[in-house]
Amino acid sequence: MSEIVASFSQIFAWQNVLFMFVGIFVGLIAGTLPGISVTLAVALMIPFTFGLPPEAALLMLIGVYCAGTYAGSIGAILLKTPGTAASAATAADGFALAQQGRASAALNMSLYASVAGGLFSGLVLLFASPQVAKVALNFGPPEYFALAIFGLTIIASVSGKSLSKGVVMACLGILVATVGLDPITATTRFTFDLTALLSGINIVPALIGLFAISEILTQIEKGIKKISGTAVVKKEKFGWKNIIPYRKTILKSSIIGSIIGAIPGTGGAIASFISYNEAKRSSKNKEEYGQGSMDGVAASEAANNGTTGATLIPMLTLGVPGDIVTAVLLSSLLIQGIQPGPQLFNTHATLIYTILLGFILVNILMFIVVKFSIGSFEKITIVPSNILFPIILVLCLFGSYAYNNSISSVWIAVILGVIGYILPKFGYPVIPMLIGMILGPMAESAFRQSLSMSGDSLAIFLQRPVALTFILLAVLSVFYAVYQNYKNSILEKKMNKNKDEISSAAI
Amino acid sequence: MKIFKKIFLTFVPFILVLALTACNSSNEVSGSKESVDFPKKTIKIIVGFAPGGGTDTVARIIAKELGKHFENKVNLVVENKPGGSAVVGATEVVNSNPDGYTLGFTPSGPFVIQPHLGQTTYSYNDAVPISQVTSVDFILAVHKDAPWDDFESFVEDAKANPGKYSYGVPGANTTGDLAMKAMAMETGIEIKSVPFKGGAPTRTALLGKDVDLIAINDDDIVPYAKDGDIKLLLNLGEKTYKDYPDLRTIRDLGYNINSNAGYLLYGPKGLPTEIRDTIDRAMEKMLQEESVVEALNKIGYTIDYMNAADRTKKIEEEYNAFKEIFEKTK
Repeated sequence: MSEIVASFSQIFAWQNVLFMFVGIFVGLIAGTLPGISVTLAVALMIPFTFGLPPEAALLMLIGVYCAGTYAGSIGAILLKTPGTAASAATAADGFALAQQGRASAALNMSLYASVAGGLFSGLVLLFASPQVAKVALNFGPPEYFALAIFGLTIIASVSGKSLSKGVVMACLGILVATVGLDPITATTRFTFDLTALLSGINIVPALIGLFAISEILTQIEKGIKKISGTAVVKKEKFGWKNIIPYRKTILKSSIIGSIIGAIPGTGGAIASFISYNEAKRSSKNKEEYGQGSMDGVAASEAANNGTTGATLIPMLTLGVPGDIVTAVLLSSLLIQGIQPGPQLFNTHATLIYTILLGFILVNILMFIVVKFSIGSFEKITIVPSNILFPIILVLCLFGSYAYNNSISSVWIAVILGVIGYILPKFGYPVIPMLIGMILGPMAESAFRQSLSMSGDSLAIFLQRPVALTFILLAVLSVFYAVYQNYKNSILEKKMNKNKDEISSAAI
Repeated sequence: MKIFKKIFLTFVPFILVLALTACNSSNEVSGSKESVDFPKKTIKIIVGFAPGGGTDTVARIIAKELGKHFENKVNLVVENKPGGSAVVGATEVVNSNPDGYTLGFTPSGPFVIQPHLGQTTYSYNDAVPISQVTSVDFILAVHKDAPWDDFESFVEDAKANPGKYSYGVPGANTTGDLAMKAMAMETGIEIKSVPFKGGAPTRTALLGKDVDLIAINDDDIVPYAKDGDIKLLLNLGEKTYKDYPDLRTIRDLGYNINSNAGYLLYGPKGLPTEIRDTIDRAMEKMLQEESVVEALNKIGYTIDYMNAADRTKKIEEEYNAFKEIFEKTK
């Protein structure tokens, strides 16, 4: 108990608070700029952590992580260019809101939802770490495969009008993701003997291309003078009261985020897609989604920040990093000579509670910092496009290069940008392609590892309860999507019939 | 106030442009003795893995410390070029300008294993090894609930049940995977290889009992074996660990297998011997500093220095050893 009290006072120590602010600041910049991913930002901060005491170092990195995950939505809303894959689900609705002159509302919703998600996961981290860790260990290759398949069924809800076109794009995404080395036997696939393609088509340049560059091309084509359709940005007052209608969505999404986050190797993107899909499914206004739904923004952002606290659970209790960011956090711990594991709560109780409580404080500080700056953020939507977009384009190209210091990533971004510009004109949506690129490799590796484990028997997916559950959810999801599609087409036919009847009666 | 805002806004892009140009990494060292040719400016170390992993962290420690051990103090920076089991980064270094300002830091895999798989545009001896810093062994580990207390009982069980047991490795055709394949051949057992991506997922798979054993690099397992859920069964390499004096090596048991993998600093094809030796001498000095030894120990590595000549010879030996393994296990 005394350790908790000690750590409570520690988190307010001026050095720790200072480094939290530094981390938040760096995270906000990194998350907003397309291409400077949270991972890169965290990696760049590593040298600074060598000389710092462990609490300050970890709290700074946590600041970068939380703020970076939130800030991906800033670009998504203002420019339809998500700074991180985790905010890709926010882009459609967020940007639509910005075009309606409601950028302020969208940014606020994103902030409140993100902080809510972050705080929720912080509480899970604080009170339920050991239990959650045990559950995380139940996730082996068969479960990852089942989860990936379930995730792929999400494309139904983001395919817009045509489900089949969405499926085509998802398959295209999976195909594109096979370029590079086979994850199991490391044979080259579609590399055409180019060394640059050995590492495959990476997500960050792909994200920049498919979302940012394609959007810039679209904006150029339309010749729009500035993003916001209205001349002045609406000054909407946004407080906790405005959140209340969305509290169910936010709570559900935070839960989904925390569950997904606790599973190593998944991440904010998967959580945000699943959560967005669930919000749409249970909503009474399904058509709103994709056209500027505040609910959609809330769902996506609460989920992606909901993963941040949860990913720390397997890292601290088992020494299992969920993604590169937690891998960096883990190595920072090791450099300080601290061994992760269940005994950590005994041997370094003060440090651990400082991290757990500090995580919550980081979210609160982030809220305060961003709340003051939102007014300036939204002004971007009234900056003339002929100034704004060249700057964004340069940042995108920089960002693609910075991803792995290779010009090939820039080419990938440009090529995918052109593809992402042309295909939607024929009704082929871009988001399913991104989902395919993220989940395809996960599904493939997991599938083949599972078969290695089971001696090539498919029964393994039905014998393990968690895997079976997700497979059933996936099947249900597919049936539901097909049913909805069928219902909609019947409805459309009826409406067209009525129209014809009315016009023929009028004759 | 409006005027101030205008001035401020005009200067912001100007400052940004300045900041970008300042990011140019070729800073000349001022006050350098003109008689010393190398190094005169910032040296770049390319790492073939993503940031946060063991190789990257060691490289960053080197980058922080090596500069002061040259006659002219210089800076070093780390650039990550992940992909293709570090082959992408290795390819870039091998083809770089051999002026000594582009170096690489890698485990030996890209040079002694990957060329056998036909994935590389370079030949195994194209790169110029400079110094080995440390080495990892691959350890055979099991979950504490496993029915075997030692290697021999495992082999007995596996012989009686061919194809029943699976082992996880941090990547297909990693040193550990190949050592296991060689071991399986020599003991006559049939076990399944389940490759994961990196040390952490492999370790997780063992903790979750998704595989029966794992053959994993020591830096990704030894620091985690203290809390009791993991049992170290056998060392497939050559080192001894002071925390685990009872851990035998596979060579102790009479098998001619050694999965020791060195981590080395290396230079492009055609790197002049003078420059190579200058860097090698500086590395040797750096690795004797107590702060460096401590920093590496904290992340699970012990110093295992080898100079350029010895390390070059070892590449040749290891390449041939793996050639044999690949031919036998075809």
